[in-house]
Amino acid sequence: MGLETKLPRLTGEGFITTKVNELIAWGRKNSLWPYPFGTACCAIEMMATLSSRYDMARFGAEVIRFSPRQSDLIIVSGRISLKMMPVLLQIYSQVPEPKWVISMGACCSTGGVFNTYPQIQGIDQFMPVDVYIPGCPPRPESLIDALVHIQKQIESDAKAHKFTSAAAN
Amino acid sequence: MSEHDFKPLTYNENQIDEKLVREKLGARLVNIAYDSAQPVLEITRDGWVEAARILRDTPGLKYNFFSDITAADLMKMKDFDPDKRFMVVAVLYSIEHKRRIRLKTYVPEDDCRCPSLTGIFDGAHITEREAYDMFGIRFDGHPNLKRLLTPEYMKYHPLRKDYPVTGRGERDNFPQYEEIQ
Ligand code: SF4
Repeated sequence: MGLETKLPRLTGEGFITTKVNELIAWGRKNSLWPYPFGTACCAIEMMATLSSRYDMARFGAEVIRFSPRQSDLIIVSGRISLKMMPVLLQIYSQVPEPKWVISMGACCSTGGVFNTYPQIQGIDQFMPVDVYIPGCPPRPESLIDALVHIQKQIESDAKAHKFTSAAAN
Repeated sequence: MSEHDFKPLTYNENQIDEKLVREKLGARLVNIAYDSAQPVLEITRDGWVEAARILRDTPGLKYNFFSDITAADLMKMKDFDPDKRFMVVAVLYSIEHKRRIRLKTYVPEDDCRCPSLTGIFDGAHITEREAYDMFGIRFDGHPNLKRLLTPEYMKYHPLRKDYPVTGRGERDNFPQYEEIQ
């Protein structure tokens, strides 16, 4: 929405105009609450991104929630096995709408190097995914880039009068 | 050299008193071999539990610490014999003498059972469950022989050599997530 660029012009006028859905989307995109679904080595990189050196808080996503009911972004980072996939599906269904999913790393996007019996060959076979991050593991900058992609998606969805994530459409 | 200096494991440190072992185990012992500085005792399947008990309790042997039990599928070996399809391997350690020993026994394909060591070593509970899960060897006398790592609904034992490495479709078999309207 670019609200901050309009602020200097506020002096003297004291008001701005916008649309309600764009205002809501602006609030949403700058306060994403991630749920960290870390199951393997990618999770280490996710922790680095969340902590002080790379600091995802600069993009408004610092409130890590360990309950799916309080979050709106799932970061799936790591290998998803036969036993973990039902858990992931259940957790995904517990996140209230609107919700977004980042599939981080080669393993949960495609199965990675593990072409074996317990390894799910891409979680997008069974649930919606908004952004995929390539890499093994992806660098923290990639995760931040994915977060910015999600923010852009929220903004453009609001402009296109979509109130929910890709999942519902 | 002080006693704290690092000493690599040598043949001699693990060496067993062969005469005492042969005398105590009797007909339960098939042969004694050595592999990577470890003695390997081949035991008959019927004498498996009793042999472990003797090794644990005999003064001078005292293998009283249970390290691991696992198995191997020999199906793809060159001289494969269906009567010796699975090899069950147990590793014991003597805290008193600081010696390690390996026991092995063979399990045939059509009678995939082995007596359980749970009555002698408590540590065998979970490791035998893992061996059952991966190879389908039933450990007779185990009080809670259930799958450990794979899901309960798995029909196969994945470390058997006739199970394909990419599985039989279990990984593609999940319900699609559906939006509740
Ligand atoms: S993509 Fe690489 S770093 Fe990430 S979980 Fe898989 S193996 Fe680990």
